[in-house]
Amino acid sequence: MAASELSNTLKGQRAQRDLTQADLAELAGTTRKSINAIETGRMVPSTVLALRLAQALGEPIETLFALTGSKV
Amino acid sequence: MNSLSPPVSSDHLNRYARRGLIAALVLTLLLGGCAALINLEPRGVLAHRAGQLLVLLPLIIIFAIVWVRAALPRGQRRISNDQIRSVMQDELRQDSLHKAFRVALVDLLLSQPLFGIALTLLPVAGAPLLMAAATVIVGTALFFATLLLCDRD
Repeated sequence: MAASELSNTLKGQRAQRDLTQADLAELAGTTRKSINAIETGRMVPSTVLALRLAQALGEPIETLFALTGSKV
Repeated sequence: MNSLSPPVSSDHLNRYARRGLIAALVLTLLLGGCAALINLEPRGVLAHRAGQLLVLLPLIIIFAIVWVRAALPRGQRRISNDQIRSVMQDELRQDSLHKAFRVALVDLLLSQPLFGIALTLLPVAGAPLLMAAATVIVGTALFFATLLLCDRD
């Protein structure tokens, strides 16, 4: 799946909670660079990382990630 | 790691890892470039200069190590294996590593006919050896360059 087919609201959700990329990275057990790459659409996170991000932000995963442009 | 020193931040670790990759790329290109000049025109002025540069290689390596270590804050220059592992196991790094391996493999396959033709046309001694060395150096340089490009901030 191409990165452009996956949209995410990570940046908005993070901003709502007044978290920096570094804060979220620490909560989700990853690096700030990965958070930045996901937010800018350069990287599609693995299922494990996506679930960890959802857990860190206390949101269901569908709120954070959605498929765009194609029907499954 | 010294138990009294605070943990190195992930940004510093990333900068440290990135500088390591840049140093590896520069050293690979330097070695490859010098080797190419020496082999393609053994008695030329450029080959002589390349030979002189290779004599300075130990100093260049020491300079590279100092430059890489300078990415870490003072007093925190000892990194534990766990911290290195956290950088290596980062998802973006893993993703970038896979892309870099793929690019290097494709280069390995595509460069063979090109090097083969080029070395047939050039009057060089030990062409098969030169071709093998060129393949390794170009593949390694492309691997590091792709990794640096994909694993950027």
